[in-house]
Amino acid sequence: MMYGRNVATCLAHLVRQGELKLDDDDPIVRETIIARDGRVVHPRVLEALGEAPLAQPATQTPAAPKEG
Amino acid sequence: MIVGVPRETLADETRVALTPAVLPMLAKAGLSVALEAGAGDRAGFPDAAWEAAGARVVAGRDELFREADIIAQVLALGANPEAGRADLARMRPGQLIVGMHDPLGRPEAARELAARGVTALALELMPRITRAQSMDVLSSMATVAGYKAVLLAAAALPRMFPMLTTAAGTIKPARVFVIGAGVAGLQAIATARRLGAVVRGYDVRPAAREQVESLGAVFVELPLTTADAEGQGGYARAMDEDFYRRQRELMAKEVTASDVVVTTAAIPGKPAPRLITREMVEQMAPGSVIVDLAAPGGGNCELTRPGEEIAHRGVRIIGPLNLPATVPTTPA
Repeated sequence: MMYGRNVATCLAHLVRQGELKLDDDDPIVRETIIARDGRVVHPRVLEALGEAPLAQPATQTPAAPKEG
Repeated sequence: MIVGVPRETLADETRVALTPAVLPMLAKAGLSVALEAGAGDRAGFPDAAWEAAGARVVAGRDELFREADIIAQVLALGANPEAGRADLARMRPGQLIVGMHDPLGRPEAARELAARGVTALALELMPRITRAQSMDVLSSMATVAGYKAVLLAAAALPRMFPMLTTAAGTIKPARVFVIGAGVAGLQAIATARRLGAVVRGYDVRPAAREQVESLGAVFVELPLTTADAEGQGGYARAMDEDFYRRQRELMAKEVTASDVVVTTAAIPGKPAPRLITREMVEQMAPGSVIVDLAAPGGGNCELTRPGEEIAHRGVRIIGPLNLPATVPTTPA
């Protein structure tokens, strides 16, 4: 399995019926996409840039204070 | 949806991102391929071969970027920061740029791509999970590098690898020591064995022993604590400086007893650990050869000059930067 086949397999995974699907729940997408929608989105790349990781999605509820 | 394959612009890069053979797989997914004229020439795939497989050949690079929804490259901006810069202006918002981006080595390229509004996919970050194995470019490239490293060493060594029994007497086999038993190291071990050398292999991860031994090499035991050497995804993890110092002491003996040393110890996004010191090199027999596959990260040998071949007191030290490009037809 060499480079051209690696790329083609990746593209065939991302494109179905001629449509590009970048699903963040897919680890292949989540771990390889480094820039999207005008932002650097990858935690390790942001770390390498000395930037804070992206904020969690707004829908997520803040962590409850620890009990005890 | 169109995948555009531009010509690679780094001077020594001979590869191309796709090959005519994979076009049917892409067609099945609804992807057609547009090729910049001549993009496959240096890899051994002339325009006619692409056209025969159903690709369209486009004369100009501007036109290619204008038409393509996806750009497939070998070296994207981060991995080709100078010559790759001219393509930034050609990119269109929303376009997907797939290739090797050196995302941890040159993260600022990701910022520039983001500013252009494109989506960038760095193949180097492909997770090491079973269903992504066929997309793992680092494994592909490491396989080629490990193989080619041994061929370079064999060509540079002023003696032969195999044991030979001839009418004129018996010649002892060359002794090859491979440091790091990842994909590249294991391929180096296998290649050196096939050429008839006596091979020893070392890795900080004790789990590598079985793989090294299965290839017919001796696993070198360095009696050190290595419990936590395996990091995320099976790659070697960075260890502390004290660990590396003790490792060097124990390794000196192995290195100086070898005719060929192939080093492959690289940690993604970090400078390569210095494993072979000047003193060790100076104790090697003249004519010995070191091939340092960690040269892109600065090298595992203190004397390595990335991209160059040097001689130090009769020891050749080769620090190749892009071995996969030397055999483009395979890795492409």
